[in-house]
Amino acid sequence: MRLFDPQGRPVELGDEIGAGGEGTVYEVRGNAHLVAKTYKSQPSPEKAAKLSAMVAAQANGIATMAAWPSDTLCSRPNGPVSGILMPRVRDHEEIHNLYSPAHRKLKYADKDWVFLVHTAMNCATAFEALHSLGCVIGDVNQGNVLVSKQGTVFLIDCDSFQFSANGRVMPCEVGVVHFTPPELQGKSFRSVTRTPNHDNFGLAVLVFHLLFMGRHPFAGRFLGSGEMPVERAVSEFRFAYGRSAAALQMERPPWTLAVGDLAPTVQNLFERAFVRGSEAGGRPTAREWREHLSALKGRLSSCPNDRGHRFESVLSQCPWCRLVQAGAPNFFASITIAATGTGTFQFTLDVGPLWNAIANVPRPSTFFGRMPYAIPRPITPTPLPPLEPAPGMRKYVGWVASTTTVLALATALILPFVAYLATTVAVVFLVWWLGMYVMSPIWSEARRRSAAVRRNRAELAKVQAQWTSSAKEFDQEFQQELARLTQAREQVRQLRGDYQGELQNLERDSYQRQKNQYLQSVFISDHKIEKIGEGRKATLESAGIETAFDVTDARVARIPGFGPTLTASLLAWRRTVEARFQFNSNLGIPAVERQTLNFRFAQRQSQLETLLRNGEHRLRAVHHRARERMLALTGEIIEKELSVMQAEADAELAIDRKWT
Amino acid sequence: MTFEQVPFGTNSFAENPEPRVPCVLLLDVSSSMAGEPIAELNAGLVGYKDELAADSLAAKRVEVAIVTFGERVETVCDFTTAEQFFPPTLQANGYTPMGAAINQAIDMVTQRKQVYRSNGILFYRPWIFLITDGAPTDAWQTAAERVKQGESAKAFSFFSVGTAEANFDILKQLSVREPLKLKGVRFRDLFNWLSNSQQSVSRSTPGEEVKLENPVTPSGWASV
Repeated sequence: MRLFDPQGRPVELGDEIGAGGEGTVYEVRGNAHLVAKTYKSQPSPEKAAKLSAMVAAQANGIATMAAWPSDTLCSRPNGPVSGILMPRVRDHEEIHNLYSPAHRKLKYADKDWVFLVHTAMNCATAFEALHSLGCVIGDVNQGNVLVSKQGTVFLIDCDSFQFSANGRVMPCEVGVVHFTPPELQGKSFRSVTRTPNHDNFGLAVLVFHLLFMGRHPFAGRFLGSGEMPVERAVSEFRFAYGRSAAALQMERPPWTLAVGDLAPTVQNLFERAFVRGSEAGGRPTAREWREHLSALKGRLSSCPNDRGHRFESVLSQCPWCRLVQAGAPNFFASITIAATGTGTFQFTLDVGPLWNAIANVPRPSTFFGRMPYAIPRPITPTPLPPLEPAPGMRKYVGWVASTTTVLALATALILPFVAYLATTVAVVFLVWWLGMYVMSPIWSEARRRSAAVRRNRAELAKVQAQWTSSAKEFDQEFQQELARLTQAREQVRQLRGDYQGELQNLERDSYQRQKNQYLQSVFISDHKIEKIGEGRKATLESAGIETAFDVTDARVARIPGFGPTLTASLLAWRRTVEARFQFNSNLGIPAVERQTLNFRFAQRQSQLETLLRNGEHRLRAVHHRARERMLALTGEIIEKELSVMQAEADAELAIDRKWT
Repeated sequence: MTFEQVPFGTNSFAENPEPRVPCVLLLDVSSSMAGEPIAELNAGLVGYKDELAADSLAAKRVEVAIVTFGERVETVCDFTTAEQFFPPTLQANGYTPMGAAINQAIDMVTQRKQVYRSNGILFYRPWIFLITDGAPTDAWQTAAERVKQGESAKAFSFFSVGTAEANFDILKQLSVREPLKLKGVRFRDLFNWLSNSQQSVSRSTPGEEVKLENPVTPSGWASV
């Protein structure tokens, strides 16, 4: 395809590079630094004027930071604008591949926080350069900011930026909600004139993503009720990391850096960018960001414990280590791993201190080994309620019952008839007399109190059973966790040995490989071998036995005419050849294999380290839960035992009074 | 303090805090799917993964879960980012317990949103994408009611696709959106469309409707 520049000179287009909704991008023949973009539909006169104005406004150096149009293109000489020329960008990634830790570890494995700060600074520089041209980016998003391996930033989709031409503002009609400032949320982009202050919100969000491991400043835990989608959070200025986050019912998500991990000067920049009032124009400018980020980059400290960790020197503790200890992933693990290289891997993990911490967590059974009991104490029985006095009649009924009984016994042998009558009367009165006791208020009180004793004893037994089973469960849980950690410790101890073993395997393989190569380079035809003349050599050759490598018992035996003597002679020759082989340890293990091995062990060590580092917390958690629960149960048991004692004393009091 | 297992790579919220585009694929694996349909469905899933994984933004944002219904309702794969999604090889067997499957998908979506919220992760409206070649063999009326409620509360979007043999009368009652009729066994085209749509969604604004490419065209994979 051939297009023309405004002077009417032809521009030859090469292969297509990519296509989007708006146009297609082609190589430019004969110019490796430029690409051409052609629009699918003819740009409006306004858009064409904007593109021409952008070309006219281009400044030195802008081509290194943005796909700024360097010229317009027409499909025929002096025709309407149908495309643009712009700088070509190579070997850049969309910025989300850098700020997202998961992809950074793959695509920028050796890059640490310094690099992220550095990239953020370069973002600010690019914004500053564009703003100085009177341009507003408008549509800041994770896809149109590209980053190189050097951390330089390149902005694309410049033709959608807001730019003024002939005194008219050509708006940027698009935008992504995550990067759109609160005051523009929900508004149509066609009708607003964007300002650098709007861009400065997007820039602050980008910087935040880079510094805070891909987190969005407004994505937090909403503590209120209802949904808190990002557009609402942004438009209500709910900066989840800010000083007024709590007042806004927002909480920073787990395992994130805090703004307190930055120097107050940088904290202030984020506050100014995201708080209510910033819409009036107070957001930090690109220049302020550049200056502060440059200062930040200059004052970072290295962590003594992890070579991948860099942080604000004002802090007393490495925030990345703090996160790891809290159970977060090591956000910069890939740096140590990338640094393992091809040398012999150094195992740096010292299990000692980690294990001391683990071993210091007391086993739950040490503090609830024995069933708790209440210390017996004097108990004041609950006084009996005022009881109706026994009916006076009871005495007479008792007297009749006892008298007739005596009478019955006395007359039993001599006056059977009297005895019979007396017995009948005695039984009736005895039953009556007993009935009067059983139905008496004191008896029912005694029954009530005895029932209370039984009930309390049953309840005590139940709590005690709970105590026993809980104690067993917690102890088991603790022991299981400990067993897992012990296993991890054993694995760490075995790492060195395993590594040496695998290294030896690789060495053995490489020894064998070198030796085979050597044997394959020693030709039978070049050597004098006892009893093997030219004829026999030719026979061997025709059977495919050409080098010392081919000389094996099995292969030679298959050749007609080669008996034990000749075979022995050949094998003896092979042995002399073998004896001359020298292993070159410099050629040893191929670098790739060694690196793969190192990488694997670095990963394993890192996983085990995380497990062991979390070990103490996990055990303490079990311990803590066990303590809470067992103390609660202990309280219940003691309370129940006292209830039992009280009930027993109460019952005793009533029982003592039963026959009075 | 609470403890969680630390998931790997893009499945870890700490290492991949990108906004999520959750999608439950509700796949019919009743015995009538045996043969070519299930083979094409499996091939479609493989293509779907490849397309999403090749797009580094969608690979981090789109989350897939698969619930199949046939002999039983089964969560073959719980929510995972496209990058960590390994397409299963499904086998056809049994009846069509579609109602129970829809209920399960709705429960999963509800739970997932809770997980996002507690981890401070932004998310787009979840999709439930039903593909069937028959009619439910269990009670589906409650499920239909829940779909209506979910759609009107914008809690999720429910899409249904049936093959020519599917019962569209019931699908129309199940889904607020017009059910789509798959032409032949063009599962691969369907999944290609699905991955393209999710790539657009993953670049859009959470909470906003995305204009999806219309699959009901002469060259598209669906008819109404």
